[in-house]
Amino acid sequence: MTALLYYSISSDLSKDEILEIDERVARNREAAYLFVRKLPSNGKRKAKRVFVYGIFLFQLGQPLVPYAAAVMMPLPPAIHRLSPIEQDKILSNKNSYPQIAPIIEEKMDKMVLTDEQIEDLNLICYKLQKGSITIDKAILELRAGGFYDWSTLAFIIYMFSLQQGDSFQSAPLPHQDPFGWLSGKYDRKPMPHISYKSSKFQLEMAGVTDGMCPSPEMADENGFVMSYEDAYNLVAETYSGYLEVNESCKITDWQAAKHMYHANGMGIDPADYGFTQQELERIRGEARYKGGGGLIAYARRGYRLPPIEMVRDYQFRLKGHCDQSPIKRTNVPYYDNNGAWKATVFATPNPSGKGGIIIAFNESTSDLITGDRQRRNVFNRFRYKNYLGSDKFMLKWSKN
Amino acid sequence: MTTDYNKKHHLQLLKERSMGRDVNENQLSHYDRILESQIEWEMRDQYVELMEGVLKGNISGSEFFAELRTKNYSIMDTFEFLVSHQILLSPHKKASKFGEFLEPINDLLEGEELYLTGDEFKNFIQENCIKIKKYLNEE
Repeated sequence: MTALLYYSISSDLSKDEILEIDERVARNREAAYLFVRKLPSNGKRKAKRVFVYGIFLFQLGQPLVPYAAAVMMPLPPAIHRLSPIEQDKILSNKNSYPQIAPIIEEKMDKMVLTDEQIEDLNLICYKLQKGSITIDKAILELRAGGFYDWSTLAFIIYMFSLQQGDSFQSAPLPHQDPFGWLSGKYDRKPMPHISYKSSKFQLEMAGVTDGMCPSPEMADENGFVMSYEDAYNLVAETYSGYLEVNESCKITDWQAAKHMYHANGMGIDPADYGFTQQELERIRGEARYKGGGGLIAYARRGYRLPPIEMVRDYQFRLKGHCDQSPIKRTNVPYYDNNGAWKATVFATPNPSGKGGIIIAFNESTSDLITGDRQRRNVFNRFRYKNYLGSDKFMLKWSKN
Repeated sequence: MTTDYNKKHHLQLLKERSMGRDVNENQLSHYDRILESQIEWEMRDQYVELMEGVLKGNISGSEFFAELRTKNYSIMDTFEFLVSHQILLSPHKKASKFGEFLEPINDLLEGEELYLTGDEFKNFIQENCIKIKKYLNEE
């Protein structure tokens, strides 16, 4: 299904090329891809086409590193950049001049455009970046301009990923905000250098076949393969730092790790860190155990901990959104299974104004409660009724 | 609920809103809910399959929530795209009600801990699965 989308962009593609593009684009877009592929067969064809178009443009809107890497302008054939070894050879052999530079073999992952095409592309990209045309219009203009090879499609995606870059970038690069970096705005505090304890843990867990513990006979009657103390120490040592959002809000590594099942909503693909969404959901499943639920119970069962790098990625993305969120409220009731809490909430609506990102902090502990992309109804509940949590718990606790 | 859906009016409200004009937010929100339900309706077989998987023991709790959350993100992305590009769908007459049936299931994703234990969770899924299948089989 996805491959057909590219036919609509360029009918000159060979089947292998289509499959290659398809594979690259779809790699980190499993959710959307599955969504499209699994649409019920009895659905309306028209609706399907609209969905497919929708998902396609959504895919275009994602930052795709492989495409960014693939779109490199090659040197003109007559110019060959010398490697240091070649340069030494030439300089040491005076008889070697003049030489004919070798012609670079054209590769499928490189773009070869005429000067005129480059100018046209520059113009279109400039208009796209300035916002004077939409991505749809840009694609139409590119097609009208005779850009039919698949590398051009990659370039479109690359440009669009640049356009979208800000919303996904966890922190600007130093040259983009030198004063921010100098003032420590993006520092983690206290920035401990922690060895990744769960690497050792993972080694110990090698041979796990049931996805839960080394072997059923090693587990106690609760399914735990580790003492509370050992699990606590493992978690505390692995997640000992925090990232400050402001003077009254911080994101501890521990709390961020505990909420990693929200990472996908903040633009993190768990697969990039060798995890699946299912593994992360197990952390939430362990939360109900009192006095050591959540991460400790999860670790006691022998599950591997999310790597600190993934946790930091999540923290930085949350902070980035907090810094730029247009809605900030304090004293917002947050209702859950255990009661009601006062929360400081940062919210960023989606461009359409429907749904958006909500990040909440417990005002008692200053620590993170939740941070994820929320659907329209949840976002509106916060926006217009000023509370978080399901109606069920709101009704339960607001009576008390 | 679907019978009071007016696609042209919905489109008009979206256009006015995109131009920065004040619109009837309640009416727009109502239309948005119908559009969202239609997206869910398109995925009805997947939801039923997911719930049946839990009841048959083929899908674990964590697998269920991973799938449910992934579907939620997909729906958000699709909804966001359709609304921002002012592409509207013609809702099926049963879509809105189906969306209402799914609400308790989607509510399971809310909150930072899963409050249902193993048996409670399975009973909850069974109860809702029966309701949904019955509704889907109705003429």
